[in-house]
Amino acid sequence: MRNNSFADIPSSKAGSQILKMSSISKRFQGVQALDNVELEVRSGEIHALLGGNGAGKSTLLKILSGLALPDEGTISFQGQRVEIESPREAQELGISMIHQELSIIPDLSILENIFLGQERLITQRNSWTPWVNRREMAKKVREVATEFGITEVELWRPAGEFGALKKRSIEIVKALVVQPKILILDEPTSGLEEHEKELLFGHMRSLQRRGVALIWVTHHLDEVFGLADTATILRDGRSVAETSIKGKNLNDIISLMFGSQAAALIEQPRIGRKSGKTEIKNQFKSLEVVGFKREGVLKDISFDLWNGEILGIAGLAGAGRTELMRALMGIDKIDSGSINIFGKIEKIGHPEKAYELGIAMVPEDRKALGILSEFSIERSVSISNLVNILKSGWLNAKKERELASKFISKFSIKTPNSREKIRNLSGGNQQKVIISRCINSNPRILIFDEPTQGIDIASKVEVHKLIRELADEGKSIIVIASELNELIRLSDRIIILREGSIVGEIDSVPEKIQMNGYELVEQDILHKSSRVNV
Amino acid sequence: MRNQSKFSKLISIEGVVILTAFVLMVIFFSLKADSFLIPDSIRYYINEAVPIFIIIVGLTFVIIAGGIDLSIGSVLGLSAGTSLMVSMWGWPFWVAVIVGVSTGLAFGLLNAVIITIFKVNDFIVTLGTLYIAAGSLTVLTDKVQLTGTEDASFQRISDLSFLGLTSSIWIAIVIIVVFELVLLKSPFGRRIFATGIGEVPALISGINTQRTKFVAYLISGGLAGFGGVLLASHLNSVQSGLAGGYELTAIASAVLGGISLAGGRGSVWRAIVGALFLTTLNQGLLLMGIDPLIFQIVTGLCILIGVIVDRGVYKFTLTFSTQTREVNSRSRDGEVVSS
Repeated sequence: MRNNSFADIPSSKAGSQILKMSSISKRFQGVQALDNVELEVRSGEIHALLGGNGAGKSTLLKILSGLALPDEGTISFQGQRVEIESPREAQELGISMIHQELSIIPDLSILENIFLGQERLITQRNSWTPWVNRREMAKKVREVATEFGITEVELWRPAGEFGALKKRSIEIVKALVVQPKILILDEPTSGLEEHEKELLFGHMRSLQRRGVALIWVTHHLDEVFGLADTATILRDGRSVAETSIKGKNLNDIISLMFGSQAAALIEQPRIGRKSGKTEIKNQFKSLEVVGFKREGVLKDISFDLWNGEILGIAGLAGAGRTELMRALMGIDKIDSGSINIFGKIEKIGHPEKAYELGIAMVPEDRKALGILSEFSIERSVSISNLVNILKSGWLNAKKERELASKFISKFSIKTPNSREKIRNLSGGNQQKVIISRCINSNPRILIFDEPTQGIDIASKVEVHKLIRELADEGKSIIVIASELNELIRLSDRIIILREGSIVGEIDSVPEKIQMNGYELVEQDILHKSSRVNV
Repeated sequence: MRNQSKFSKLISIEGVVILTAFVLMVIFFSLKADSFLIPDSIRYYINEAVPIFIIIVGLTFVIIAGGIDLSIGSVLGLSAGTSLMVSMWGWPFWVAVIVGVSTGLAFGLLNAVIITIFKVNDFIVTLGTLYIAAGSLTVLTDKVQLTGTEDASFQRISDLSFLGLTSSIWIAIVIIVVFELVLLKSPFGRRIFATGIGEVPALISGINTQRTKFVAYLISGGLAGFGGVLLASHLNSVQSGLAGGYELTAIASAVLGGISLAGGRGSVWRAIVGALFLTTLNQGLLLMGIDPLIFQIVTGLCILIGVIVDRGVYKFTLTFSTQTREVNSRSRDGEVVSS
């Protein structure tokens, strides 16, 4: 830490073992969260930590970052046995973590964010003054910041002005300030667009070049190839394998992660369903959106939705996808426009009205917008349609329990009982509860905004299956997903938004994939959604 | 480990901690002060506290919905003034009741409109209406001497005796039971909880959060009005400044009862236990012959301790709920609470 600029970290010998966690076990209240887990990390490698929800990844990382103590097992760091009892101790050893939820304070400048909590690094140098010296701060980080795509001018701007990618960069530079030897990245690509992910992967490679070992947690298994060197795979609290990524493919990894259940995770496309404008028997328009306009966000959007179809909405961030859905649900007011739902012209001024008309939504950002954290599963399921559990005018506890139990077994929601609070469930199970809530309101139209955000691949497949089943039952589905792969494989038809307008539509998506190949469809969408306006 | 999980189950039952504290306090005072357990004295101080019990019921709705209502104390005072005035004019008692309740409802409506439609911060709005109501009472008592009505039926609203208790107490019991039922067993009550837990997720799940809050403020105002009628009927005189500060006692009671000011957590009976705790504390100290000058200090300390314990219990049950894997280093082995 005595270096004048921390840009020149002495690169340690690549490939030497830096961390070894052996036979780590941890129990929580009778549940074996970790059972003899091994993790070995070498300096300068990108080490993927993979596993489904509940496999024990987060517990292991908590132990590594000093948030929890193991019941059994040892940790050695650079050949020395260590006990990590607090996050500060972890940091002093050189272990830093970038959390999935960004800890950036929007009103502070990027520079201040970088040094947040680390002011002592600056003040110790000129100890006669208690306040922080911003010039000194800027001098220290300038070089590194530039390397990770933050210009000198941007350092002084409030962090809230920047998008998800830049916030990741801020977190990276912030982590580098304390000169870590190991950097833990928890789902670093969540919320990033495809091209931004590429930039982030570039950042990860330059971290690697600096000799920093990266422990990388991700649910997006396809990202791992070509980037990670090694992977440790956890299943049910045990380390199943440590494997080199080279020469492996996605299916190898999936079967390691899920064992015998892996076969069930391969998704079948929904071929043979006619979609779109061709009017056939038993098909009717369930929704017609006419001329939705909202100043600066939506520019005259009209589209149709048919019963039994899955309509995907593609577009980059800021194209107006979520805004369109919010307008449709009546969460945001629109300047003009109306909907024709099952042949009736309606205006939706409030979500309550949307639910009355049979439109329900599974929102993005489950933690902030989806769950009512203090509610039990029972209450979470019943809330959108309380009439269902009334008995002579009063809420009936028995009916409510039965309702919840029905959904718990139908969607195999993993929980000790139906009174468990929703916030204690894993992401995938929370999502299933929210979907149950929507289905309980007897919707005819269901909107899914980023339905698989932050949930593991097994739950993801389940959610996809669920969405397809709902469409098969005749419900109309609208799906938004940033991950193009997911969107294309799920949708029957896709409309493409750019800057608040519809710029393209692709019919009969599954058939087109079969005929022309997946890549062509993807390129078509990418081309349309990102073309620069002249 | 076994014992600990039993213990954590026990204290995670809603309201168990404050109830235990209350019982312990009653035992303590009955040992220390001879006259403490005399039924007449209990009846007396409970009867005096009825208006507070009634505004706590409304306040509970507002707080659980994620809001706050500071105006209830002075609205209660003003409503006492208006109802007594009407009764003194010689109008029948039921007109006085309607006028008192309407006064409260009017302030509830004003709060509701400004908070839910104009979206102004609830703390500031109800602080404003607190001053308006208190000021109105000052003006009213300056113009009219509210020294008492001749109408005996107006006085009987609160002072009839039935099965050994005053009608005030019976009315309070009915209000508590009815509103608790509404809060815990009706769709509206459920929406109150959802709104308080998170307005945005509640909105997205199809709840009209605005209307829910609106009604909560109306209830709060209406009950403050009704509490005013009972107080006027009981005292048969109203001066400027009457019931000022009641809102703080009510908030303190709610918090002591474990009702989260962040919203989404609590119930009417818990707030009432909190209020019983505070009034009993006062009575007990009085009977023990302790200098009344230090009552406020003791009350304040009790509130602080109560809140800290409640917080600890909440965190403890969070840590040890069956599913939670959150481990924070401080309560790793539950040493914070169980030691």
